Amino acid sequence: MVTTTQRVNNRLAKAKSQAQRDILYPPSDSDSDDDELEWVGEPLNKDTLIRRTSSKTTDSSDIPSRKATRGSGLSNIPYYKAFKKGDTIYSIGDIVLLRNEQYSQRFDHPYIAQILSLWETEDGDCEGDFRWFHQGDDIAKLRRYQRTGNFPESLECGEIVYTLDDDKNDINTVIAKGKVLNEMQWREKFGEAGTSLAIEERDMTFFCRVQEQHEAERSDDDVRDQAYSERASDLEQETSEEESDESTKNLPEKRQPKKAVVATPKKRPSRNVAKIPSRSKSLVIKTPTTQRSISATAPKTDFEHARNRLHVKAVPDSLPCREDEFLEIQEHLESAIEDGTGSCIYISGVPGTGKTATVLEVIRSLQAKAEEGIVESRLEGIQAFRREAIEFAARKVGAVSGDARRALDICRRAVEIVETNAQKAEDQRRLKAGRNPFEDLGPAPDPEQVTIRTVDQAIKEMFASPNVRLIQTASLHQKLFLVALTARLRRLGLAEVEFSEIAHAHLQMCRLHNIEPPMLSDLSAICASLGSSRCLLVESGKQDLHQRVRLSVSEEDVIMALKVDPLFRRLLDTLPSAPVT
Amino acid sequence: MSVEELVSLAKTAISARLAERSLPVALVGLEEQYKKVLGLMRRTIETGESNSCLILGPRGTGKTMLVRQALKDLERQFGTSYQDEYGEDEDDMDVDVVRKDFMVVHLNGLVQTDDRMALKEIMRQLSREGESELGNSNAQYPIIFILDEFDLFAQHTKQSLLYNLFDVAQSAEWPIAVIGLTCRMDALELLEKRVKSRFSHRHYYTFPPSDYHDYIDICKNALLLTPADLEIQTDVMMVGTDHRTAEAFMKEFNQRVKTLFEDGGFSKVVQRIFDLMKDVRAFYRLCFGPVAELSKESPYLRASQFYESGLQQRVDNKTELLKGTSLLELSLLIAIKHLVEREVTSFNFEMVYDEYKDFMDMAVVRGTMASSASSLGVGSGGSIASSDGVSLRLYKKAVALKAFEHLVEAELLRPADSFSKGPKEYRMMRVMLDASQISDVVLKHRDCPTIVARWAARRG
Repeated sequence: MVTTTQRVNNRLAKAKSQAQRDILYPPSDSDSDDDELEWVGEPLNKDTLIRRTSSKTTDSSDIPSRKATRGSGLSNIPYYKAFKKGDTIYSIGDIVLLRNEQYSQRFDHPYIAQILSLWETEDGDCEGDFRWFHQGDDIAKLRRYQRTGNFPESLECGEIVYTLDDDKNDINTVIAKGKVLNEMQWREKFGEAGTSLAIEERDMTFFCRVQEQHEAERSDDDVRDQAYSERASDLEQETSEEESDESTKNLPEKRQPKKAVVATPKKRPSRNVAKIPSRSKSLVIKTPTTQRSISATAPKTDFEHARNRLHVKAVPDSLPCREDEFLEIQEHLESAIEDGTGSCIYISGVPGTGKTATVLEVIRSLQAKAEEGIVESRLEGIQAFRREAIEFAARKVGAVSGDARRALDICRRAVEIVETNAQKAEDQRRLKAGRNPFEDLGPAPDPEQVTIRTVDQAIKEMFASPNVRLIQTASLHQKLFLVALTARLRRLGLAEVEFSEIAHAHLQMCRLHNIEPPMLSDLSAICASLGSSRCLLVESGKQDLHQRVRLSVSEEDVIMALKVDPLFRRLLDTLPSAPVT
Repeated sequence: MSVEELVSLAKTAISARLAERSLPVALVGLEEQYKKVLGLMRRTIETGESNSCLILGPRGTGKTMLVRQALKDLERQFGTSYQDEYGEDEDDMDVDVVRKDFMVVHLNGLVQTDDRMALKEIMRQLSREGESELGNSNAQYPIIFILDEFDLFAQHTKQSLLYNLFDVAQSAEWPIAVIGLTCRMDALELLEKRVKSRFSHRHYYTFPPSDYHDYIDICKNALLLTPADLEIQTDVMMVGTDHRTAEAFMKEFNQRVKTLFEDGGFSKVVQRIFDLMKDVRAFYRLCFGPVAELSKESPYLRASQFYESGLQQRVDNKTELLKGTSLLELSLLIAIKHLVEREVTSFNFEMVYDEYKDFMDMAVVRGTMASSASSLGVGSGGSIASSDGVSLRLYKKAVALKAFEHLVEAELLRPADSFSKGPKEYRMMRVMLDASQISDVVLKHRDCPTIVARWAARRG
């Protein structure tokens, strides 16, 4: 992964500096730093364009892009043939690389797509329709979810597959022009083994050999014409098109931007995987959203994103490991709805295994989605997490309870830890800068990531037993009382002792070690206080001197906590040895 | 401003702190926890992220104080119409008049003993807060739930209240923060599985100060006066004589407090409290008397006052209870002591009386032997006049039974088994006093004949 990045960066000397800037700033903020974007030529639908006063729009501000007016019936959207970004002109039909938001480096694992059409929205955002190419790992996913298609067994280096999936995206995410060859040309150019001849070009060039769907070899004009005619027909008869366009119908959320984050390619090949038969389309339910008194600030940093998504309330994009159950429930519901009959399903399971989530997911969309790893699926596209950290959290929890809520909460806590650390580091940097404003601070440190260590820290924080700490912070006499109790327990070999016996042992110890002995009423107060924090289990106070007391924490905890103190080490040494079990 | 006024102001301010009506001036040793709790609540209010957490710690370590402080700060921040003219002065107590962008619901496990009551209380508090808030009714106001004595809520049937609260905190329905406070370290284990799974597993611990100096700091903070206590306005230019006298008084007062903490005897008293329980409240209790005694004549705290209240705190409750007890009761207790020392842990009245009688018989025998030699004479009815001038006599069984019952009433003696038939003379009893306590009582008793004292000291 790293080497790819480096190679690409070396080649694109100019882009390299940009990529570096991207490391400095969170990618979502860096859009405005991108090269100016401008349209080339007049709008294609000049004649049908109703109103558009100023079409000069390069700002991709924070205004969430409204739904493209494809279906609105108004043709006030200018469509263009090409646009210019930096020094490159991209026109319809071109193969382009799109930034993959999942990676911090701009040129890391880009998406590959073909431009189908280009237009400008009412809000001034520049958008385009892109047809995606599948790359190696996409194919693996598709195969896993039994997507039918003539995918090759495995893709060669540089091989991509032309798909029928297309959707809308912000043009700002386009980072470079690519090239797609057929297999023959590819072999000709790079040789069988892919010699190192043209490494640089290789990263920009792909080949495609799946013939039926392969249309990339068509001339640019063809594609453009086709694309435009499609668009034109759109404008004329959207309603009929909407009816006929089944794939769109089935995947309702595909067309509308889900999140307000501009410039994120929303390519999610897996999203299109499990297609639901069209009869279920009426079941799409949208949860109503309510307005809040303080408008919740949109998440700004990666940390906030991660926290939001990790919150158990967040609806994951997929529910892994629940496919079978999911399908079953879905079938039941579908048949019930079709027949118009009632249906009764009983779902049982250990808490936190996803009963509610599965049902909600069925109801919400009746659409199966799946990704690797529960947490991972939520954190897709967020770089605050290291892969192994997620795995670690999942394994830790899986070993104990398998409660997904627990794993999510751990990750959420881990993000908080990193966030505070980052905050601290930033504050220190600021402090430094404050001292000497002219000193060059150098580049900001790499954005912190959640590592195994942080996850471990979070787990420890959440599950560490407070008992040792509790005993350590207890007062002198509380500790003595515990030692006295342990001594009595050991001597008698019983599980519980009467309070008066412990009190005697306690007072005796005080005399031996020249400590001012407490009153008996003080001792019973001590006993009660230890009982209230459940360090001890104490019988009801009515029994007074005769109330029976037993340790609620383990004896090892007591010994471990007190060993550090020299006085108590001496006391512990005099304890009768533990009864042989 | 006269000294009298100043003293009364100081008295009010300090006793409010001692009674925990007002919050302490500074948090000592809880800064980290405070930051976390505040951050959690703030996230709920600002970003609508629902959260749940538990604050655990032994009693008197500042759990409730922590939450109160956080809420106060949040009100400062989010209370939109915080009026400075009259809002500032009486802010602490009536917060619900102030409009804010979030609502708080306080529940206490000791008060709301079942879910029904808790629901009613939630409704009541929400409607009250809802009235004072002006905004549009369909807006979502984040709600912060404070559950005091959280462990008691877990005792409710099916834990449905907790289940629902945690469930809401997990879903996107409404931004809420659920904060539970408990002194039970094992509170989590009380939760049912389904409830536990919905809890976010954030817990913050408050432990008593591990360091003696921290403890001293907390104590000092309660006693030291601040400008606000004496209504000294620091930012106002007007520097009149009033202002100057107030400032001088504060300076002197604080200086005295500092010397107080350097006093050896005082330190000993405080050290003892620290060794016993590290309980801040115990120190507060110690201070109530001296603070209440502040007056125009003695406007500053003196160490000698604390010796006295320190001594008052050191007495054993039961020994104190028996200070003025009658000689017969005392004799019965001594008889019981001898029985217990012979490993007879439960006994009835007859056994005690026998023991008592044995002693008296012996005393009478000895008395008669002595009387032949000296003036110690045996009176009528078996009473003997001891050398102390107190007459000692064998009381009749009925009288002794009455005394015995008096001890039972004071719960110094308790029935050994909860249910027993038969006449009360034969009911088995256990004593709630330790042998050493009985010896103490005898020692402290004002007019106890030496012969009785000797009997008490005898072993076996």
